[in-house]
Amino acid sequence: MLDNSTELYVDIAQSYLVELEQLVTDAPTLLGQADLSATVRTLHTFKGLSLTIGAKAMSEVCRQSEMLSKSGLQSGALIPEDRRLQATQALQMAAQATHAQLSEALRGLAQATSAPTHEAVVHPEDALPELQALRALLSQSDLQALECFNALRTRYSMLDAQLEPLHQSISTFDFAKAVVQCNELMRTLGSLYRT
Amino acid sequence: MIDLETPVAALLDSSHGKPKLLVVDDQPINIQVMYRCFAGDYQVFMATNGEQALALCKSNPPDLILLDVVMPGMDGYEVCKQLKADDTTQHIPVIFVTAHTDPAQETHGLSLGAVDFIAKPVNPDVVRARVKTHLTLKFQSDILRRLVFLDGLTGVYNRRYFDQQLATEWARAARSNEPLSLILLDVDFFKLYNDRYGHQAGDDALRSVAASLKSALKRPADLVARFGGEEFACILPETAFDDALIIANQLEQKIRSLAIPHQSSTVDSVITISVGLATRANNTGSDATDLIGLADNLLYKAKHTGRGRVCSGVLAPAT
Repeated sequence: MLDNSTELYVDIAQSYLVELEQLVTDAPTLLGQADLSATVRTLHTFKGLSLTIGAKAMSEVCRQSEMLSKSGLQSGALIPEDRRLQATQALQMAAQATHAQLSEALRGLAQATSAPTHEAVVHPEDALPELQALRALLSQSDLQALECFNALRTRYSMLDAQLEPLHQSISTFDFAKAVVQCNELMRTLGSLYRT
Repeated sequence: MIDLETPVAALLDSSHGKPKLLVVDDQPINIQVMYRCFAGDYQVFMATNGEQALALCKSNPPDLILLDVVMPGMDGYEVCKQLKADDTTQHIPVIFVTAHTDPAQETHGLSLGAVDFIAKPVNPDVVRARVKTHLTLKFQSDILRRLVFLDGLTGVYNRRYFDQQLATEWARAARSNEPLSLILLDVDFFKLYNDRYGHQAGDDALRSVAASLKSALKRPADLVARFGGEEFACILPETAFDDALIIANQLEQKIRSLAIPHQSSTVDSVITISVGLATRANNTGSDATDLIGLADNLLYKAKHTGRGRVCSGVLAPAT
């Protein structure tokens, strides 16, 4: 079974892959915007994310496109067609190559860490105190909520479907929404298992 | 909570509770990476935008902030500017974490009051070392700031802090139309105590009285200060006359129950205090010096009607 820190690493890489897929989709229109300030910000952010994940080639392509967009922003003119097409192609190719490499790495990681699991017998209603603890952490924007939630999800796999919306909110760090979802889940479990 | 006895190293090693870091970044990936760097030794909080960061700093101030520059809406520079403009958050060290490599941007960030600039991708060992260094400086600075406002003998606040805080509390009470109570108290026959038992014993007695007063006032907003010599002052915000009178009597009893022998006192065989209590009620048009004046007069009355007692009154509205 994946331990909590490995699961966090996989979460980080999977979030990046989602961002990468979005960049491939957005690339054709990104550099053709009349207002390039949002483009500059997007490319700057992606440059940083790529550096963080270790995708240096992707980061360099983003940096070059960011520079191109900045020069367009400063001159107030649209980016020339030929340069725009060239930069778009470079972004898409780099994104696709990085996506393939990272996906392969994650597959290898999944194979290396998979092991037969021994699950203790747990009951869904036992999750209530742990959901309370999770809610307290989420309300304070305490990042220990990540580990708390991963432990909960591991222990209560029978609640996977109910925990999925909470997972989405927590992985995008919308903790305010996660608190609301936590409350709803606690109410549901409480009413289902009240004697 | 920092006190003068706590070595800075202990504040960093989690034995007094983990130091609190706030990570501010609009990208979940960056937040997760920072969390992995610090999760073991720190309590890590997060905000995904500038407004959320500012609100968190007010409600649960961190010991240090790791702040992204480029964010939609309020950027990191604006967040830093607002933090430094606010008395309650200006002392929190801010470290910018950014993919910017422009020296002009770095200079701008530092001129806004940030203490450091870390480039992405972050090297975990480097960022941990830098955070530890800046936290050490921050804790040392916190201790120094407290020293300025503490009385060296007793460890309670000094007169300078009392004057500042009374003015603040008076203004707050006037704005919100809330009551404010002030206690001035004085150790009875303290000169005779020093003459009989020596100045060292006199210092010990003052320390015991101060510690006892401090432990008796449980609310965070209540303040004990050494007013001068053997005189102490207690500020009780949002405390009406009746409640303050109960507290004043409790303080008098508590000091008496310390049972510090005082053979030269004519009040009792142990150290006692005389207490003057004054309360600002609602709609009082006077100022803080009037409150001190009334409390002082009531302390005088307590002294001249037998000592070891409480005299109290409400500040009349200004005519």
